[in-house]
Amino acid sequence: MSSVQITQPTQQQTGEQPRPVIIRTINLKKAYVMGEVITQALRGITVEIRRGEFLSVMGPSGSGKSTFFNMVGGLDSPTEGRVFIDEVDVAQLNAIELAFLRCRKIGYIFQTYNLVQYMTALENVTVPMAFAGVESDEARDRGMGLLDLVGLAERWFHKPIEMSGGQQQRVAIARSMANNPQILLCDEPTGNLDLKTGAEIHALLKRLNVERGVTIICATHDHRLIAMSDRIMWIRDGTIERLAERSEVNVQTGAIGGEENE
Amino acid sequence: MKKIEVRDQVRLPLRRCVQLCVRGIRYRLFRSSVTVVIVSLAVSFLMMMLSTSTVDREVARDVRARTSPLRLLEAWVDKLSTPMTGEALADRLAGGDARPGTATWRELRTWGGVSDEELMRLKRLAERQVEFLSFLAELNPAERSTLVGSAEGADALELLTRANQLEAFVAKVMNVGTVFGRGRAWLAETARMFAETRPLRRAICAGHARAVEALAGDLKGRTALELLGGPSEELFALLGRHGFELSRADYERLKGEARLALDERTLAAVLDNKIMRGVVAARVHVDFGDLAVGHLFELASGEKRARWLLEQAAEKRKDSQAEIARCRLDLARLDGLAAMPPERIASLARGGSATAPAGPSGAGWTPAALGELVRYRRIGRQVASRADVTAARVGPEHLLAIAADPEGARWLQKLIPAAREGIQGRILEVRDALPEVPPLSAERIAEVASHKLRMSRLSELEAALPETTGGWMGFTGRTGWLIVISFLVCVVGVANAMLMSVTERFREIATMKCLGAMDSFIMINFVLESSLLGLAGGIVGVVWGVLLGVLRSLWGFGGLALTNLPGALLAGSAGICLAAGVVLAAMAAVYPAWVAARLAPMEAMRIE
Repeated sequence: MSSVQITQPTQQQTGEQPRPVIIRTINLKKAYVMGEVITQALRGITVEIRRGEFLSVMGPSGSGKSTFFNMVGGLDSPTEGRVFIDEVDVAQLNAIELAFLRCRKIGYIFQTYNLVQYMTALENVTVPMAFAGVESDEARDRGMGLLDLVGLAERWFHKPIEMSGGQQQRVAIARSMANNPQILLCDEPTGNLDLKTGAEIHALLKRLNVERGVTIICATHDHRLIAMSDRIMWIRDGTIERLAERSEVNVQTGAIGGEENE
Repeated sequence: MKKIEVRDQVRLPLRRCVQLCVRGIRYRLFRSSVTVVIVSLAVSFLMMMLSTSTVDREVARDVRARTSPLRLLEAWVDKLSTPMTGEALADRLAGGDARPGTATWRELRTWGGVSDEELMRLKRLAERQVEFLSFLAELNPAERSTLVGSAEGADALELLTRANQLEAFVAKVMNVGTVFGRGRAWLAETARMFAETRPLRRAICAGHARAVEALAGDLKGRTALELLGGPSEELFALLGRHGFELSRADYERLKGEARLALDERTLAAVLDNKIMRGVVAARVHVDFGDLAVGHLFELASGEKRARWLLEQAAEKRKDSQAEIARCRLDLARLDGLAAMPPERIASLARGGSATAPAGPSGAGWTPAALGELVRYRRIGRQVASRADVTAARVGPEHLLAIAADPEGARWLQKLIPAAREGIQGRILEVRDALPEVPPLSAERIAEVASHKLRMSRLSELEAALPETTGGWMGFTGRTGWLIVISFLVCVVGVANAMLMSVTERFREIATMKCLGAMDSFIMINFVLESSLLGLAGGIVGVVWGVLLGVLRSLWGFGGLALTNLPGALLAGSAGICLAAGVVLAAMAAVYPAWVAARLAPMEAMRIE
């Protein structure tokens, strides 16, 4: 119950006043050892992501984008450096605390939706609530609320296989919001969708960002998302190539942005 | 540094886990059913073995109880009629009912004239002897001949008492590579005891032999079985006189059996008669030579057929008696003919009715009767040769033609002694084969025959049963191994299926972890899923196993298997099998579940 209150935006963005930092990484490095070869996926990323921010992460494949996501989402531990989520050092957490973190602080949205195939839309949405120990009656009500939010209340009894990609992704978004997380990590959420559906998903994410104050970190190749982002981060070869406010990027988008960032 | 305000991550209640599992199973119905089939195969194999062996044991117990009076009777007949050997004495002493104060104990003491202490020493030796001989009996022939040569039974022990043989034996045991649980000292002690107690054993055996002989003298040709089936006063008087002790309880058990055995012999004697043998053979459609006593019992086991048998015996007896009477009459008439003057015979042959016989010796002779004399072979053949026709075509007319002449009549009279001889031979022959009507009622015959059939079926079963009993739950080493291997195969199969399931569900598992599932939940989920499949497989397996096992027993023992269905034992076995199936499946899922639980949540991000 209380978690709902906690995750409510405590602070609306108010002009000049800087918002509190929700994710902070300090000199984040990650090396994968594969036999004799050591691959440096991240070579030291230091970034602060603020509460309620909409951050797009762009970069070519193999740039370390996914690795950065795993670190930030508490799914993997860095070789060096630190990740603080809500001022908590992720490296200090044990398995149960990590599960708690993933369950309530962060929502994940995957490119491949990753819905559980044998569950209906509503059941998929209520899975994280079950892990959080929400009573099934309340979970059902909240689940229906979330499905309504993403515009699929009428289809709550449908299995993923009976839904289109866009609908599945919307169910996935509803699921990621199940325990009112403060952060949504989206890994190319529109990668498998056509332009129109992708735009709908973008709009939905933006709505969550604005109405609920959820911090959204979104890996994408889609330049239209830049228009919605507060900041854009380019990663290349495991380092931040560029981190810019939308206003700065907007100027470029018109000119050479498209080619440069591809 | 700030700590995360963790309230413990909730563990899902079991009910919810089961719900989730069942839905997953339904989604992967085919894959799951393969697992169920694998488990059910192993479980049904175990269950079949368990139910067969439990049913077999019950049947064996039942069969033994049913045949125990017969065995008791056989033991007593043996005891009363055959002198005991040294080995039989050892067996009896090593048995449970040879203790100071028991009937067996008193009998042995009386016969041997030995004291309690001496008998006790013999008993201790007997126990060692039985142990030693059973060790030898379990060896294969090659090993045995290396160890004790061609010595059989107690002779092997006899061998050890000889000088140096003991050392040689101990050395050979090592060479052969078998292990005898007792050491050299034990063997030496046994051999010493065996040598020392030889006079005692001889005394007891001799005493028993004397008692048997004296009893046989008192019985005056009757058998021990007849004594046991006879009146009880005489039985107990005779037994008491010769040192045998038959308890009243045992007597009650074997009395009926003894009488049945006596009547059975009476009934079996029916087949000793050639005529009755032919009758029975014709009735059961068996070749005369192949007819066995079993056929007779089979035939006589019904009351109606038993009555038919009695009627046949009476009828055949009457027929034979009638034939004897006829032969006697023929003899008298031939005597008359011999005494008749040839002229009268000639006139008789010519057909003169005026020549009717005068004296009683010629009574009943008519020309037709005279002509009939050719049917005696010894006369017929002579007539044929004299009339110069073949033996097959000779008829009364030839005889009458010859006898019409007094010379011929005289010649005919000379043939009479040979014919007489033939008839007398025939009388002896028929009298010999005179069927006896068994002095039993049809009801009794039916009872005896069906009892005999039942008993022989039971003893056949008893002979077959030792293979199926013994060992834990009646398992021999081989079936035990088969079961273990079937379970291993099952574990591997289930583990494989679960591993595939895990691989297939990498993304689902990783997603669940991203959504806040703890490792323990994933682990429990998989083990639970496998257990549920194991339970389903177990139930299917138990049903099949019981069906197959009972059918197998039914095949072997017929109705006895059904009347001896051990419900509680079978239910217990079913429980064991079910538990085995569940535990097995759960065990098989532990590794795959561990793999799944350790899966990194970031796998969910991976795109194939």
